[in-house]
Amino acid sequence: MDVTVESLSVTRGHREVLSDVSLSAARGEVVGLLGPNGAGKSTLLAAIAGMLAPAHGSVLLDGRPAHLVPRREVARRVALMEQHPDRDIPLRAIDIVELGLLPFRRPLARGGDAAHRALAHEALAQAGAAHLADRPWTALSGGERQRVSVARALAQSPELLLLDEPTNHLDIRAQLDTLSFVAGLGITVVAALHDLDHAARHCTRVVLLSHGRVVAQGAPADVLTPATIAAVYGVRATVLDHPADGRPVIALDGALDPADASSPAAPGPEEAP
Amino acid sequence: MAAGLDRRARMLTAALAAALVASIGLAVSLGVAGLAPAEVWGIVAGHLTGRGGDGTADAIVWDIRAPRALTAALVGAGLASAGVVMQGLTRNPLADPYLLGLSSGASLGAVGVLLLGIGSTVALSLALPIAAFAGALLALAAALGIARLAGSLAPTTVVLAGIAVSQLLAACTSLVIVMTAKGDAYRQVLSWLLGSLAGSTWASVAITCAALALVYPLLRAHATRLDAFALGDTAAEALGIPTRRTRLVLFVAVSLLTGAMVSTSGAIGFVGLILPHLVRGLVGGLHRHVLPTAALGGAVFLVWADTLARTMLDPREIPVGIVTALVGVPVFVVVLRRARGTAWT
Repeated sequence: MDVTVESLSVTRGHREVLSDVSLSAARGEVVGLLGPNGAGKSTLLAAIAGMLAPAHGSVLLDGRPAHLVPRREVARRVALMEQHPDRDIPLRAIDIVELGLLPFRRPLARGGDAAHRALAHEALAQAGAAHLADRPWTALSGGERQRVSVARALAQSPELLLLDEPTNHLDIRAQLDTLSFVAGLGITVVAALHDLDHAARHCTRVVLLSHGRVVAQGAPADVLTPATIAAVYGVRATVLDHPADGRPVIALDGALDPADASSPAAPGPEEAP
Repeated sequence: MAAGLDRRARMLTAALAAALVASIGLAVSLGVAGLAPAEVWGIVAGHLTGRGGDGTADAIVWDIRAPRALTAALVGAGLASAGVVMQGLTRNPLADPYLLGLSSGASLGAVGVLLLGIGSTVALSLALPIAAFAGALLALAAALGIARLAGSLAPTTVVLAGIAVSQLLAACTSLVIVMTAKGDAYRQVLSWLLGSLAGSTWASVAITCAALALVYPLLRAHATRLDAFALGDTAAEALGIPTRRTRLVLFVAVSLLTGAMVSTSGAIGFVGLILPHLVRGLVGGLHRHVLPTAALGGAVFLVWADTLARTMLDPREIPVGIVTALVGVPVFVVVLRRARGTAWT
């Protein structure tokens, strides 16, 4: 699926949380959204999913305005994976994965459909978590929960996958597994990420946000420079070339004195979901 | 074991349905009047085959015990279903119509109508559940509104707000009764605030049965959507569920159910809190399994709680809410403990 965001502004209450954001993601691209907490990453994901009406500008999914497409129709093509590893859900893994098929059943169907159950098992196996099917969510580790969430997204058979900080609370192996897996699916992925090295490794393109505006976007090597990192995060960094493939590797050297940063990078208000 | 849970839920449903029939039968046979079971069943059989009957024994069995046992079953089923749905919608394992103030709101609504002194019985039996429904809905709105003002819809905040609303409305109810009641005001206060099935008639059966027949299928149809609410609102929305509209529809439905139940029996606590947790421990968290088993379990539970309430301190009768609290609180503590930190079982 092609995603085009054109000079998008979104307001919550009287506050503009996204201002004049433009970006695009072509079919099969993996685009990373970067920026400190409160930069507007989650809001941008919700807008791309069509959950927020733009104040100005537009979000187009294959050329159609996202917020005007019926929700169920969006849900059949776009999957959103929130970070919720610490939420208690009184269901088993397989039940959670089967919820990914909700957009494909009649709105108030009774549930317990054998064909859907089989599809859910398939999705779970594809995410490498077939063995977790009957385990309760509350008994899963952070990495296992993430696999189950990925499987639920896969059950939606999406053409666009939106990820909100998919590596939070995961150990480094689970972080790498999750990102390589979704990057290898061949569908369009837009992911809000905290870790700059993950972005450099897995994304074809990154968009750097600060206070609801795009500061820079392009190939990771062009965007992730000491100057932009200092400006957006208020952090002094050295950017090295990886000896194997030349991708940027970011070494964080220390926090900048606020006065030294070329633009104020004080922590913004908490990012709304 | 996907099929395993389905089968377990079916077996539990069948077992509880059988237990319900047996419980109602026993509840009708038991009582202070000391009638022999054979006599009781003769009277019931007589009415069921349309022969009718007369005499004191007939009146006790057919006009008092039978409607009372049936109302207990229907109210138990209604309150337990309401608890299941409120816990699912608010992702709050402590949500229940009693703790969030709906029952107190419904009581106040019902008492307010009694105050108007509507003479006609038919008009009154219709006005009572409607006023109780309005009271329940307003109480729920107030509890959620206060929690939001306090800045959070976290389970504990919502329950605290609910308790505050509940206390205020219970105080208002008591005040209204004490100011206006002729006769034994304190007894009336007790039966509205703690719940009592002592006044059950065939009209109570009709009202609670109609409310359950109207609302339960709607709740059951939303079972899968309720499962999706557990993932969080954003995730549910991303699965194509109109979360705001769904929540509104179900809150209104639950208020209607609670209003109808409270208008016949007062604010009986803990049924909506305990039953969902108990059955989740047996059949898992899928709402298509939890709803029917919790409803049937609630029916059986309240039939027995009421039987105890009217026979335990023979010849004195105690409000059934005392029994549900005595049984309910320890059970809830055990359930919480077994859940080890997570309130879901």
